[in-house]
Amino acid sequence: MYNYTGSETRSEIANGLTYGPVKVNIDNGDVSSASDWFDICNLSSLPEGSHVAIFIDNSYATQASYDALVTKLTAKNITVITVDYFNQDWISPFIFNDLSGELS
Amino acid sequence: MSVVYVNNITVDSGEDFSQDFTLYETGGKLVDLTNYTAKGQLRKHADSNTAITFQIEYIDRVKGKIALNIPRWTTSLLKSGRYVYDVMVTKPNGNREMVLEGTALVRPGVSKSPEFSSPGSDDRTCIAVISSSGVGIGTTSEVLNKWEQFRTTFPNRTFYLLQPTSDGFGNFVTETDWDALRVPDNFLAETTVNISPLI
Repeated sequence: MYNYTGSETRSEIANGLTYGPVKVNIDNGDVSSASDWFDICNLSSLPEGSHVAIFIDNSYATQASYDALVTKLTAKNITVITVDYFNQDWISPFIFNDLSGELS
Repeated sequence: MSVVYVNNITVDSGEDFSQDFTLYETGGKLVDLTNYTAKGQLRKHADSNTAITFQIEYIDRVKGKIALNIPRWTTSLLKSGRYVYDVMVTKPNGNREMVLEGTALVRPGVSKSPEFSSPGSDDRTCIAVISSSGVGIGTTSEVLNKWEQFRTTFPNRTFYLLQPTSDGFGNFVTETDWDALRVPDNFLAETTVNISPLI
């Protein structure tokens, strides 16, 4: 794996399109423990009518954060496409299920 | 306990969809939706891996009135055919109940206009939320190839990888965290981490 020291950032070589991993809270449905994914992912900059695709491995662990995100996105008329998957592959859902933007 | 209301809906592709519902308790009493949250999704079939999320409007919480909305730029994504949908509410005590379900018949739009076309998927924002990876992600080289395939297919998409952890937001990720997610080297070479607002 990459020779990472644990204290550096990758911003000097980043493409500006890829972010993370970013640690977020495990909220277990508790609103007071939720993380603000809308803010973390800078989604306020998206225009009305945009689409956001989300894959979540364990939805209960972050249910409150997810619900808060959906509330903010729908208030901005941003469509949420939730991509469920039955294993821990966090890349393939965005290549295959979300490839054309249509529901499979 | 709420009644699970079965209602089949019709959605016209390329047009705004909106339908009101009134929710009742068993016995006919209106459901007071004060402090409830609701989530509804539309899928091609129950086992489908992708879903459209309804915009839920609370018309009158005390009288149990909600509206399910889908904007035209989203209905334009739907091919004609039958879909399934459901709506689940979460009560103030955290309990969840299914309150609405049914089939959705999507009809093809008659007229097409540029304003009906959805924004392109090329620059869609993608968010993956996962604490650790293992099952199904593949070998190191396979993960590398998957990320290369994603970036080759969607060079302009913004991608956020969120990792729920016990220490949570505001803490640096380390090599241990990256290894837990099986993050490939080509992802690490292009990503931004550990700077505000990411921490």
